[in-house]
Amino acid sequence: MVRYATVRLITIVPVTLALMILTFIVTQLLPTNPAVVAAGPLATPEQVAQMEARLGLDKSIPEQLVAFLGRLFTGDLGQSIGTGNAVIEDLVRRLPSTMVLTTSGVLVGFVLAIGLAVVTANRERGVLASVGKTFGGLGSSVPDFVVGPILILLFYVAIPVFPVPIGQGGSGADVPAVTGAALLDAVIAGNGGAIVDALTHLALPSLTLALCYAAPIYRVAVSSIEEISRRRFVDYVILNGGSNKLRWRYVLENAFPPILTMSGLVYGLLIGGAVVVEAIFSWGGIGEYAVESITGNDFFAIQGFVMVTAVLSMLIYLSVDLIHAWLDPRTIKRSAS
Amino acid sequence: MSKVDSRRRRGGLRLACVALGLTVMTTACGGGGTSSTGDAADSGKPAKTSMSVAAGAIAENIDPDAPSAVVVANYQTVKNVYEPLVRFGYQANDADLGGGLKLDTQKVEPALATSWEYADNAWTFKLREGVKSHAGNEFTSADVVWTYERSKALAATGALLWTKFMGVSAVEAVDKYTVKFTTDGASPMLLATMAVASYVRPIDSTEAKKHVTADDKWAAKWLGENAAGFGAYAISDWQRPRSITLQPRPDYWDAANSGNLAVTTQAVTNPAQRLNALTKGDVDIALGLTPQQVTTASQNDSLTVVKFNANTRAFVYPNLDDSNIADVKVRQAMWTAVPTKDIIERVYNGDAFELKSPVSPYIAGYTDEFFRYDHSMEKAKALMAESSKPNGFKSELYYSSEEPILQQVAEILKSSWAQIGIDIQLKAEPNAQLQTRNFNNHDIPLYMEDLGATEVPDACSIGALWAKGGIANSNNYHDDTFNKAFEDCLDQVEFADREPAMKQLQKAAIDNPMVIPIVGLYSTTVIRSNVQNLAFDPSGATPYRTVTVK
Amino acid sequence: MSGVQQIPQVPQLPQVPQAETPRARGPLLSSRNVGLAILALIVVGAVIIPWILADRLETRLGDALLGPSLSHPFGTDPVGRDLFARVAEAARTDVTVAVVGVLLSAVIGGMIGVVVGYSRGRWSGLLMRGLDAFQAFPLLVFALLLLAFVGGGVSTLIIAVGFVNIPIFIRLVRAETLAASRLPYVDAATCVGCSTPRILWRHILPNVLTGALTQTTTAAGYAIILVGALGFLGVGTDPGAAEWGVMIQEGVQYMTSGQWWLIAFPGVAIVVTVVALQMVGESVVKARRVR
Repeated sequence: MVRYATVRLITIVPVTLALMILTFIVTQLLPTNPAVVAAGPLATPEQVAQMEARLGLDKSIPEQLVAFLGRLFTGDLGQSIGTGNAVIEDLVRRLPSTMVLTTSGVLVGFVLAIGLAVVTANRERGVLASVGKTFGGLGSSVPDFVVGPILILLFYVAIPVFPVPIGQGGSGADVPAVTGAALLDAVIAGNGGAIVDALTHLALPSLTLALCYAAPIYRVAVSSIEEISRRRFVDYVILNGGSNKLRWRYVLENAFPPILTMSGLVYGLLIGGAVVVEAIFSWGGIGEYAVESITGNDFFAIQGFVMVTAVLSMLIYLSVDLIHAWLDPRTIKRSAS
Repeated sequence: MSKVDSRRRRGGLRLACVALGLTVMTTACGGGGTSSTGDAADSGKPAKTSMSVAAGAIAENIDPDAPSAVVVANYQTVKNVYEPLVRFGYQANDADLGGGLKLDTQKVEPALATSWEYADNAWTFKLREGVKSHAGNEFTSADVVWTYERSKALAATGALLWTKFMGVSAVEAVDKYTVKFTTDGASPMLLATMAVASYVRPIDSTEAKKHVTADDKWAAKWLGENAAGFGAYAISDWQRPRSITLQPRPDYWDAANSGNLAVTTQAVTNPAQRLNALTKGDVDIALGLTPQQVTTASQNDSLTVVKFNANTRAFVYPNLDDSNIADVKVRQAMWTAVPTKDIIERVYNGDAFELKSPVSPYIAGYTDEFFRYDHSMEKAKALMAESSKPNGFKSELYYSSEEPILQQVAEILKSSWAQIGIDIQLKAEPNAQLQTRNFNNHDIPLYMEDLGATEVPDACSIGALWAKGGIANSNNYHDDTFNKAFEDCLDQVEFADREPAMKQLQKAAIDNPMVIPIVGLYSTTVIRSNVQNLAFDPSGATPYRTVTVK
Repeated sequence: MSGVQQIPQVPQLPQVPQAETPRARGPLLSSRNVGLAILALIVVGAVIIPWILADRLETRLGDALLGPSLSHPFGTDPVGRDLFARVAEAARTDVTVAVVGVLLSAVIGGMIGVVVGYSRGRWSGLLMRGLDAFQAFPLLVFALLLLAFVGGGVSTLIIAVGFVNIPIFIRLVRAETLAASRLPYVDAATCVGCSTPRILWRHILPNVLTGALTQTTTAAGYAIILVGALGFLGVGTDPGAAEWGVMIQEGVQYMTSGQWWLIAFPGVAIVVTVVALQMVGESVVKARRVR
């Protein structure tokens, strides 16, 4: 296990490096001069030249690459022209918000998918079976930019159960911004009212994510549960007079690893990909930051976002693999062969 | 406007925006005498004590002289937190534009300075005594000197304003409450610049100096995150990047005209959601709506659309290095061929106005008396026939691909200019690329944008932009009459003495156009109808001090 | 899933033997036939409806925001255009971009994949690691980046859709090529002295084609959602162009005033198109499994 984990961890290094080099190359290809962007709109040609020197753009390409990688390792992602702050600060301030949103979305989706899979697995006909089929099929086809507005229409406009779908609620002078995510800050401050407020703001966006992204988890759950239920050991449990509960325990335990893997994949992609949902609900996470940076030509912010999300998603995939290997040690053998 | 809004940078020319920075507050302290508290009292209902604003983004760095201070979201906070030495008075805005308070750009009032005078290349300001900063330190001449030194050292926007618009070459403290600005000539734009630009507003140096470090000699890091000024508002809660709450300061110097409301601004990226929240009554003010949304809002009785005659315009910038466009007659013909009414009706739903001078109408010294390019295809054709390109030429018009509305304007211009023999190819390109090309490579013959807010509210300011060495002069404009008028403009202090030169300046800019004005746009804000006394600021920010909510 | 990223297949679920027996011909109402029929309807509709109803695509402010009725089955938009005609007009943009973009990536990605899969060189490993890095990245953001730096418009959208899909096809075709090149008759062909191009063309390509075709329909479905998301975020198409995502974004501001149809019908159009594409794609997968 330790050896497997080490090997997997080491393989991340070249991939990350490849990604950084890729980002660097893309930077070189762009028609925009980053020094012009960084120097700001009022810069004189001399200031642009100074900025070029500061960014090392006057050096040779290989030298620039080394310098670029060197800055990355010290955590220097440059300055955002949109916010006026260091890109790394901007990202650190927004990342917890995105994590709260995606984690809750994946959790709700996970529970939804497993729950639905348990009641619909091994059913060919009936209402439940068609509910399952519809979700498995349609869930992959209804975009988040349709589901989000429809949920707002239903639960804010028509039946106002949830507060105005803007931001994360929960804040206020008595809840200091520690992490930047309202829910976490409210929990840290131990403020019950703020926690409830943050949760009601979280409900719609995380439901949108769950509805839109849980279908693949559901499909894997169903096929995995169905496959395991047909195994001999399950029959053996039944023949031995095992209770229904016991049977389900065995089935779920064994069906779990692929479900977990799929959830992990969804989670990893959502870290940078909850862009639309963040934009609909003005969530203030890194997805919105990415869109703002891209439309505002905020060069270093874009670069920083690319790095951070890619590395994060790779770490998530890695941990999923490791958990999978731990749950199902056969994986290690398979990957070794 | 890109739907994704609104941290969008204004680019090069937008220098201006820079310049504009600010006008905090002041209710009609001089002007119409609209007492903001009076209305609420009359209605018998208790006035609300808080208000909520939906904006595209909130300030994330409030250093008044940070590069990001060119962003409207930042003005929104900086202008309410920092106080200028002098300010403009307010007057009632036209009722058919939705009411509110507009600037009286000919009336400069005392703020942190109580009086000022010019003599022999120096302006001397008497400072108000006993004014307290956010940290409780007293305002003195040392703060003004430090703010100037800081801008000079940072060499950013502030430095540009101090030198190019205010003409200041040194600032010294005469005594604790007197400060002397050494200027290059009379430098009459000094007052107007101070009144609007947030970059040059005094910083509480006593407090800021405590946060100076070896790497950060001007406390940029600390000033980015803390308010250290003398303004009407203080920050009480700041959840970056989502919301910021400003609280009126009880020890604000102008107690009679201090703010009434605690204001929470929320970042709502999607303009449609801003409108939805406003319609439902969850926010009181929505900023940065699209023209279509403004039209929707205007049909709703519980909402009011407030428009100010501002300095946002659609301009085409001709590159005078291009031999086709270098000919004055060609530019005159192009201006004459602009079907202004058509564009206003078809593109802006009637929500724009014709420009009769490169200076915006609200600005002191504005005149339309030299305008002679009323739309006429015959006249345009005649002008082309007299030009060095009687048979026309081919050219390219560039604009940001992120601004759908410009595409529509461009198509109308294309068909109109085609009739006078100018065959235009339309080129929509991403903003970043365009800026590099227009301001650095100069390889674009015609460039159109609709953000440009390029002046200090003083007609002279077009000289600072376009005269020899002007900061906006990236298209190689040169006109001797214009340069001479600008020099004359800078010679006098009193408005009346300068007015003839201001007119000459505009006449020269119309005779030999450095820009082809297309239409003027209003600065539009949509509010709940119970919000009153919304005041204008040329930066697009909202000065909260005057606002009341019934 | 409805986001814009394609989630890669789960690593190797043990295959369950299928209970179905192979049939020579599926029933008339098989999901493939239904899917194909819907797609045909959409394509025909996109071609002829905006043409027949051209006058209803004109701005008519007097007819703005009418609810669905017999004369306007989907209602009208904020400037009085018939929403039904507008939705059909938008299908032109969305379907064209998705189909052309995905075909482009299938051809380019497929060619690279065959070469890389057959050569098995050291570079192919390196390329695959590069693709790993690439795929760790959300497609939507990647497409946004491309558009921001290249500019909007249908052709750029096609390039963006093509570009983000290339790695998926390289990966898929490479795997299929690897598998196919292990087949005995390929060894036989090699022994007989066939040239590499001939082996690739005659023996490998036909095997690889079905897999790639399946992926094409699935990818086209995701591409429609991707284009919609870009439109929703306000980038991509030319201003004023009809596009489903843009229409939904425009509809959002009318939610509080009750004009639900502005969101509902473009939304339904997207869902129906994507579902139809998936039905076709899945039926091909099933057919292959059976074979």
